[in-house]
Amino acid sequence: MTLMEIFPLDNLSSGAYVSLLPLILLSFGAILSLLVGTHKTRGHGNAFISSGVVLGLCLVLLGVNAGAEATVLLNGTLVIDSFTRTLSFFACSFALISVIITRGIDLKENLLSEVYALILFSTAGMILMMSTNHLLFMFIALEIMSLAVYVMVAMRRTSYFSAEAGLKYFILGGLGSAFLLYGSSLIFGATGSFDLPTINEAITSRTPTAIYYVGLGLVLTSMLFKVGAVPFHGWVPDVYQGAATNVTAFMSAGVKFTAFMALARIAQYTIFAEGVPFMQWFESYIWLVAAASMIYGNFVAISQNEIKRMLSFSTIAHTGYLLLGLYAMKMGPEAGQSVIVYLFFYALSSLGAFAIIAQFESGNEKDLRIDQIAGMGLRHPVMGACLTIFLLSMAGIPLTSGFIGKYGLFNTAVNAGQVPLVVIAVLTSVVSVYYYLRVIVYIYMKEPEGDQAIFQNMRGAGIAATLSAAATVQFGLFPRAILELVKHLGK
Amino acid sequence: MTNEILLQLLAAFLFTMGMLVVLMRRDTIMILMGIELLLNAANLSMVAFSKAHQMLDGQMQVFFVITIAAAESAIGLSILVNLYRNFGSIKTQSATTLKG
Repeated sequence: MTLMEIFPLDNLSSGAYVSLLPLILLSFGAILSLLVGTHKTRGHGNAFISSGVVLGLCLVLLGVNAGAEATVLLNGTLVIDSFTRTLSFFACSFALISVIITRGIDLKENLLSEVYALILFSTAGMILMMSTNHLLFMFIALEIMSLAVYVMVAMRRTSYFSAEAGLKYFILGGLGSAFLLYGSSLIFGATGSFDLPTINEAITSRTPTAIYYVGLGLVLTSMLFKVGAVPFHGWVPDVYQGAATNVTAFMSAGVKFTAFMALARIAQYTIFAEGVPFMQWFESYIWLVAAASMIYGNFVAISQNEIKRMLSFSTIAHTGYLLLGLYAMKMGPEAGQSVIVYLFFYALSSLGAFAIIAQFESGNEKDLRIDQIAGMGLRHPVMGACLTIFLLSMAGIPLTSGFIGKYGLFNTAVNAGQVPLVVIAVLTSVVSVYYYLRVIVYIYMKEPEGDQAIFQNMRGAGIAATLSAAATVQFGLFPRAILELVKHLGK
Repeated sequence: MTNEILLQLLAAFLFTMGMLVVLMRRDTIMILMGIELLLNAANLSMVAFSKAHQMLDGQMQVFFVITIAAAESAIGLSILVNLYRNFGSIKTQSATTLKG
């Protein structure tokens, strides 16, 4: 077999170029943003503008081409169709909001100008990761995404917390990536392919050998590491707390979204393949992880007094709900739609909440205590109202998008017959209302006392938060647009 | 026992060793080396499997993995420099400010 047979280098058609254009734009835009960021006085502004413009262009391109024909490259390794284009659209919009929040923090704290370029590199990795069916390509895309995020987490060079969070994330992330690599190597050994559809064919046509199961276990474990599910959640609270808030926002939206989409893709082709023996073991594994994440995340979040740390435990709980949706996918890939909707809504409210927290933080503090924002609803009515909306949406109160997401997710899970897990999910989300409402009580009903956080208005973060809040309410009242969009993609 | 099985056993052994190093050592330089060992164990396993299957896929991928491992260790080392500047030590037990 020659090299050309493995990687046939066809001449790309113009359609393929158009499909790849967002990726090309992101990569070159990142390099451009690195270059213009070196200017002594205006570097940061230039880097911000160039990365913002590039992300805007990508959004336009992806939006215009959403319905265009599918492009399949490298023998099905890279599939760019309307589904992956829409996922990429979501990823780019999260990145754009993060860039806007980053600009605000940058003006206050003077971050390094490279942060904008890193967001673009990471977004390119996300798009690759969501468009591939190939396990090793997925590993490479995962590393493109993660390496940029490791640097972003450790970026505040004078902060203890940032250095420590960077170290923890790097070690555990490296371990997770290595699991994915070794796992896919074992799957390759058992089935003779890295390509998920081919693996699916191989395991359904004849019973796989034992190394396949070991490999699959390792791959699943690594993806559960990346989404931050119990018992692989160890890094989540420390990293969310130690990183600069803009990075936390980006991670909680973009990285989580991507990792979950990749996990869903792997699960669809391997665990939920029909007629393969011992797959109920892996299903029970996901079941247990989902239940543990929901219970652990929600109950530990109750005892937290710092907002970022509380939100990081709540994100573990949300991972649990999403795994419930993933588990429902065994009845058919339709359940995947509700997972996408939920993730999108969650990412919006999480980005918005972190945008508001960013405006309260002073540079050297590691976190914001809940009592430090007592009474902010009266002093800063718009931001207070926005934060309230985001928290209500995360709790899943009706009239916010979080309710629609949660309703859809639980509904599909019940239809798939997962009643016990849904009962756990509903009970734990009742628990979660306590700690979300506690913050709202502080926002509106407590008198400020002791040392208060100083609110520094950042126009960018304020706009991002207001837009996210508007979207949260809009999709909470009229969710049809987004539901139809995702349903259309499922076909 | 054939060579193929021996190679796979060696890869599994190296992977386990790497994992133990990452989980048990307190010295971050050693942890970094452990991560490299993990990736190299996976590389060895992939090369051996592609020999067994008479396919080039695995061997091709190893080049990409080596490149990524280099990038990863570069980032890891710069994180260590940053850690040393902040804490004056690169032992993991010195960096324990985030708790709760």
